[in-house]
Order: sequence, then structure tokens, then C-alpha cells
Amino acid sequence: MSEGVQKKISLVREIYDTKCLPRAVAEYRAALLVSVERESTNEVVVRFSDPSGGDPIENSVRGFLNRLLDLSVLEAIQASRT
Amino acid sequence: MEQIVRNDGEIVLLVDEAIYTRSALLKTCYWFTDRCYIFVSRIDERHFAVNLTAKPDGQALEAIAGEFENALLDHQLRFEIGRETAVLRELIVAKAFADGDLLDDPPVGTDSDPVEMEMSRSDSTADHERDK
Repeated sequence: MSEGVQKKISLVREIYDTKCLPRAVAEYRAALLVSVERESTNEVVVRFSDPSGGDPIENSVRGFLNRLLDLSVLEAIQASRT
Repeated sequence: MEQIVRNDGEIVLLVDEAIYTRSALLKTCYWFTDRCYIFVSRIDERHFAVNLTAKPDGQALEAIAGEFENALLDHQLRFEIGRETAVLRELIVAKAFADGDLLDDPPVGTDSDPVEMEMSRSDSTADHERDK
């Protein structure tokens, strides 16, 4: 995330719960296209583009990552209570 | 906690997992997603990198980063106090519900004897009898 907005980002599974990914993607559908490029036991690599296929808008990507983080935290709290 | 300030309006905090739990980090992030953009990545086996980026028309990032560090410390402390006092809290809840017969196994002692002096007295009497 340091050199402007990257089109590809690696999400560590320890922090980002991939179960929350579909909901975050659905919420940002109007502003962002998100596709899973690669998955491993430790990480999920996602690729971003704008709905027309061009470069994604910087703050849409950042907003998406914030939303995914929020959903992941809520999921972790819920899981710890059950 | 090491803080790296980048030129493009981004602050990176290196969080040592030996000091701060992942749970404390997650909860802290949750409290700050309304004030700045956050992205967390792992940089090595011991450290998470927390990238903080200012939101448009948001607060100064330096101030947010400082508050983030304090909040992380708060959450970690709460976690540790919670762990240390878990047994005590369970005992208090058990005592509180004992009168309503809501528990399968009633807790030891009586409500009028919260420190269980009677029990320790009877234990010492039994010990005394045994010694005879």
C-alpha cells in the first residue's frame, strides 16, 4: 500500500477473514471489481480494478480494505464467543 | 512500537506480536477504521505492519497514529487483566446466581460467608482432629 495504490494486494489470513470477502465485494460492487488471484494457507492475493476495467480509484481500494477489516474483526469476536 | 513515516502521507507501525496479541490489534484497528484507512500485513514472524493513511478531510495522521498506539496498549492491558481475573469473575457470577437456583452445581460456601471462613475453619478443625 505504500507506492500509491497497487492493483494486487496480499491479505494475510491471520487478520483478514476470507469468509467476509464476498460481503465486502458485494458492498463495493458499484465502485470496484475485486477478483481472487491466488490463495494459499497464509494469504489471499486479490486484484482490483474499476468497474470498467481500468485502474481502481485509490480511496475505493482503501475503503474496501477498511470494510473487510471491520467485517473480519466482527467475525473474530463472534467466533470467540461461541 | 516502531513508527515509520512515509512521504506520501502514510504512517507504518511495526507491531511486535510478542508484546501485543492479534486480538488486541484487531480490536484497535476496528476502533480506528472510521478515522483513517488501515491495512495490515505481516512483515516477519514476529511483526505486523499497520499502514495508516489519512482520509480526505480527516484528522492529522500523526495524531491518529499516536492515539492508535495508546489504544493498542489499552486493549492489550484489558486483555491481560481479563485473563488474570477470569477465575475471580466466574466466582462472583456463580455466587450471584446461586440464590436463584440457576446453577446445576451450587458453589461452595454460603452468601453470608463470602470469604468462606466457615469452610477454612472446618478444614483446620479436621486437620486438628487428624493430628490428634
